[in-house]
Amino acid sequence: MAESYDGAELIKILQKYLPENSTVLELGIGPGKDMDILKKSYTVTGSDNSQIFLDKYKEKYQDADLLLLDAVTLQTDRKFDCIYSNKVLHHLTKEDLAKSLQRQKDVLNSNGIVFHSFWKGNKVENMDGLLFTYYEIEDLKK
Amino acid sequence: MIKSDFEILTLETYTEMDKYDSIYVVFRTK
Repeated sequence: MAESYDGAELIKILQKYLPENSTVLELGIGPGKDMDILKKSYTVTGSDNSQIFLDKYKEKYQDADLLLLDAVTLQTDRKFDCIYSNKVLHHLTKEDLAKSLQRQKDVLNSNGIVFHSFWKGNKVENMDGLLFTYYEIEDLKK
Repeated sequence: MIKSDFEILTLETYTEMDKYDSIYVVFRTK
């Protein structure tokens, strides 16, 4: 097990693989904490399936580039150098995660980089109507 | 799921806030 990380630490790891000024699509920005960090090094487009989160972020940063996107269908014609999410895709079923990854491939430029984090484990929970799908390393290696 | 379309660059476990077991994965389009 590695040491304790938050979004800032995860983005430091991303920086080993993704050159500065690359274009990044973040899936599920929520309140925008990771997007704020990503913007220091990259040209970031934030997305969320919730218009409320996008509106709140736009209140803080009127020039923010934001898209209302479903993480499974990713309905956009735009392409990016990287797709990033931090504890977002666990809200999808395993089947929908597979569909999302297929779609992510289409939304990436050649040699595109993908960074995602998940809860570790082998259970599926439903809390307050939200799905939480946990993954083991072996699941993700498939 | 990932392997068929992407090359996995790194796949590691970590803890979040010192208590939540987590995984991050970085991969690249083939």
